[in-house]
Amino acid sequence: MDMNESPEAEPEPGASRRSFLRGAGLVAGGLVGSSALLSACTPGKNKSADAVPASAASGAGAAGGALTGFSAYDDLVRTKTAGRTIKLGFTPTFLAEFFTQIEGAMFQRMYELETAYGVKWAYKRQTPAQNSFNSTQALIQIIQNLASQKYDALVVDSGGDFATMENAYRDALKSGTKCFQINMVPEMHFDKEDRFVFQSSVGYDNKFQAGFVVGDYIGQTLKGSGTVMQIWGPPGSEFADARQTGFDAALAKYPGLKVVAKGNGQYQRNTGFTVTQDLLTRYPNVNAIYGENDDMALGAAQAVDARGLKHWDGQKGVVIVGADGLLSGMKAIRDGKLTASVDVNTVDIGRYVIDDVFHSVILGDAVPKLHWVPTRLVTKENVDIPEAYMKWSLKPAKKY
Amino acid sequence: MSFLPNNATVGQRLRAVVTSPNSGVVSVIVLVCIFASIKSSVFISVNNGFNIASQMVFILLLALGMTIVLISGGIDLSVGSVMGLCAGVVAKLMIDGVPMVVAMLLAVAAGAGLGMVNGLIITKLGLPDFVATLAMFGVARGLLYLWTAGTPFLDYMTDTYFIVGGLRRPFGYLTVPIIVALLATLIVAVTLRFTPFGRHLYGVGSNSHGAMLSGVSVPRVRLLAYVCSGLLAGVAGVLLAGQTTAVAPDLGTGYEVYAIAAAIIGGAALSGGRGRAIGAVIGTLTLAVTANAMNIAGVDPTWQQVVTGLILLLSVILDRASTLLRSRVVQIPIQPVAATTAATAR
Amino acid sequence: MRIRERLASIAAVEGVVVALVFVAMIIFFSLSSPYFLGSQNLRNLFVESTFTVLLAAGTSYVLIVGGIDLSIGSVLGVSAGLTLLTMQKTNSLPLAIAVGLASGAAIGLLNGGLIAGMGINPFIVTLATLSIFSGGLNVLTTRAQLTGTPSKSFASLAQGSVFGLPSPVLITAIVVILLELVLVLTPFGRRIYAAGINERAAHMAGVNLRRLRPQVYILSGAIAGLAGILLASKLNSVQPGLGSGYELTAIAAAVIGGVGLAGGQGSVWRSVIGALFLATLSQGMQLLSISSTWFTVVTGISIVAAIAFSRMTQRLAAAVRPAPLPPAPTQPEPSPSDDRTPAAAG
Repeated sequence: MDMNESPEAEPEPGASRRSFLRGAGLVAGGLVGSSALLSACTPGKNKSADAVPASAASGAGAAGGALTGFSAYDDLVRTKTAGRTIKLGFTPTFLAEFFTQIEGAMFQRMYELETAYGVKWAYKRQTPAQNSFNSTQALIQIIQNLASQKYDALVVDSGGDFATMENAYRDALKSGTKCFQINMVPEMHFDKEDRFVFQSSVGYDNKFQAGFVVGDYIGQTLKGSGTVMQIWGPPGSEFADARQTGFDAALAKYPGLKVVAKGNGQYQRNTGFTVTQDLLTRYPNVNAIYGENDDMALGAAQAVDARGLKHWDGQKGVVIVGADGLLSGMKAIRDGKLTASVDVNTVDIGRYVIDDVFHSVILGDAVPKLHWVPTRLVTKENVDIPEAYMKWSLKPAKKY
Repeated sequence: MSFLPNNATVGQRLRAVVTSPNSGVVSVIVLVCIFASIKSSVFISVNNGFNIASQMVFILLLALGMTIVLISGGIDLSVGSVMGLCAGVVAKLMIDGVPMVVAMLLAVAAGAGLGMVNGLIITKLGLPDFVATLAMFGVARGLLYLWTAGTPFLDYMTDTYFIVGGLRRPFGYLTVPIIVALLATLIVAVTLRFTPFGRHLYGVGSNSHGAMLSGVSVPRVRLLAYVCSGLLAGVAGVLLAGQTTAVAPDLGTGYEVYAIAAAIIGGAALSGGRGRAIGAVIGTLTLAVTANAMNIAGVDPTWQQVVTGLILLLSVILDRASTLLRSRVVQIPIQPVAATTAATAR
Repeated sequence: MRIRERLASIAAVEGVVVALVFVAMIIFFSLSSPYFLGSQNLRNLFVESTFTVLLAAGTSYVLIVGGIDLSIGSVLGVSAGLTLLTMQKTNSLPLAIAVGLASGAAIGLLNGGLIAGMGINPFIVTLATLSIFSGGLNVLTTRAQLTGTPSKSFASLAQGSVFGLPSPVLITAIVVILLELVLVLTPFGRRIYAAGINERAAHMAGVNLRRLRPQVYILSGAIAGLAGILLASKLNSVQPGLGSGYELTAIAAAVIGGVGLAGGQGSVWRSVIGALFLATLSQGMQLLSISSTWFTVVTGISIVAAIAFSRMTQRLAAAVRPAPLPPAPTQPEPSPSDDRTPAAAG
């Protein structure tokens, strides 16, 4: 939390001192300009190119909370935030590229709000020690620990165990800690929406923003007929169930499409590879493979290569679709290893959740329980935009 | 079987087959194969045989090392993590421009080094094998996490490495990983059977006190067993990095359990002094055939874990039954105590 | 010097030094973090460690008798699932508890029956049942929505308090004390030690191992079932994979506490110390803001350091002490590094 920790943080002291002065009534535009100017003048790694999009994006105001440019409003918010430090914890299920991107996006937004309104952040990331999709118990322990240390807000990704987390959130709230969950599957729990304990759940609808999108893409690409293989996550995963529902709904539109096999790839690349290798032996003429995440889809792509089959070239070959929205996935699409992938928009997940924290903790607003971000089916044609957005998130203007 | 006279009757021959080591496991493999080939004709095909062979490689290499360690009376829980870390070593070094062969040698050396650390902690500090290798399991995995910072190592593949990883096959079905696995099996088999080190391993594992009295340096043998296990994990890591073309921080998670299971199915025992290289092959084959058959036969993924467990259970029950039958045939009185340790000790 | 000798004789008791290391760790953490001794934190620490403590206590029985039970994690999951299912269907707390305990005991009976009745290796039997029953939980959770019951009494099992003490901690404490007393004071307990130290001798002394071993596995299963009931009550929902990995933590806890894998050595309280050691270490690291990437590395090194320290202290103590404790009823110690005495294998 030391501001001088990294070179990226260098322009920071100046900027925050300035925003202190800004209480006297400098216009907002001046702030954005000066912080960009400052970073431009600072020698070292922090090139202006990294900082300018930050201000530009805050100007775009993805979800409110950043500067309006209307000084009366901005000053009032600034008065409210003056001297406030939000103790924020981030508890991803495990360390992975996915969470690195989300964290970077969170940093970007935290920095934007800090420069705009002077709010300070005391940030800490904690993950369960062992990598596992079943580390819920360890995660609950971390939430309890952070709550007992009087954190204001926690951003939680529990990797799927939705119902289990409710008690942990309830206990944390008793200690005054608000929990915001990301990348979860609330769409499978609408039946008890009135009992949702979290402040907000930022993510996307796995049914219709992931599973359905892929089904529709495969249907259109194969012109409505062909055979499909599913390389799926472990049975019982809520993500898997939700995406299956959406995928089935899309396939219902294309009666000519038939799912011939479904294998368990355990969300891992090497398992995805071996399962696909086996299934391709039985169904060598398959037209499309849907890997439920990018890693499994890439494993499937290698199995397709190893068997000497051709990837989709726009006319023929095997269509391979993944999902995740990772920079490495974007590269795989660019290199032609994946035909397509669903970008679930890690960047906006990170930004939106920080906005929700800001609104809820500082302004006391009621934030939406369900906060969907836009997702996008990425192919070679449109890979540039999401790729650039992710790259930006991975170079935060300040690391916390 | 070889000791049977040429004029043995069919019944004698049959009995010899039924009571030969691993016959229970082998018969379960055969049953699984029959089931799968009824479900789909492609199960018995060259392509699918190749699938199974190439899927066996990594677990087999670890199971060979595990067999050595188990014979010496130890256990190595760290092999999965060490394999992952060695894959990381080769990937990162190649990203940093180190020539492929050097990177691979360094990765294998790293594996052997980590194995040596295991062995030293066990023999010098006197920690139980289980605890020392469990600690290494955590440390090696943690180091890979720290090193990758959660983002996989990518873009290290070269044309030659595609061949090493078995993704390109200039020699038809004989891929580099399969050749390496065959060689490793042969070397381990010869070492166990014909070298002093092999004899010392069995001696230390079945009766360390007796081995010590007969002049064997028990700590040295045990240390070397762990070095072998680490080295084979390093080799497996180098090959695996070539197959996955990306080294994620969780690469190799859970492989230690497969390796131990394969070694034990193949006849090694936790009590030490028992195990063969061919047993490791049979054990690995059981696991690989089961997984492959379920995919080919289209068993619902929800049920696959249950079926795997049942097959495992069936194979050890049949194996045990065959052992009991053998001991009856050879007129050895059955142990009144039906305990594994008692029945399996030499 | 008498004090020195007395200290040495205390330190020579296995487990005492690990307990001291544990206490030192608590002092260190409470000095470094103001939150550590906070009532909320201690409550969390104890409630969260109950599951590991229970499983480790059950595991010590199995390890002392000379076996191993890898299925306890999956037993925990299945029992939790069945308990919650019964609660949803009947809303009867006694019935739900009975189902949870009975399912655990039944799996224990299956394990024990195969191990003792057929003499199959316990490692592979319990690995197979681990696979079967964690797969069974997968199947169960896809068939039924195991999320929540409206019953307050069920929730209070693990979320309530008695005299200000969290009820799961109280339940665990009672069970652990009972288990320790049974092991130390009853003929049943003595038979367990005897069987673990030397099964043949135990058999000749009239211990019925075919009955004793299943009893121990049933006990271990039932305790895992109890842990499952508490976990189901605490989480109020059951997912696939619940409990996976607990077996390794429980065995590690027992071994860290000084329970030997070769059998005949250890006690319940030592396993409990080991479990609390692991739980406190992880809690403390979180409070000290150690980056979680370092967790596995630090845990591994701490375990090695703690046990190496306790071994060395014991060796020193043994050198200082004038009259040694009666030697273990096996053979003269083969080598300090060898925790498997040949007698136990024979």
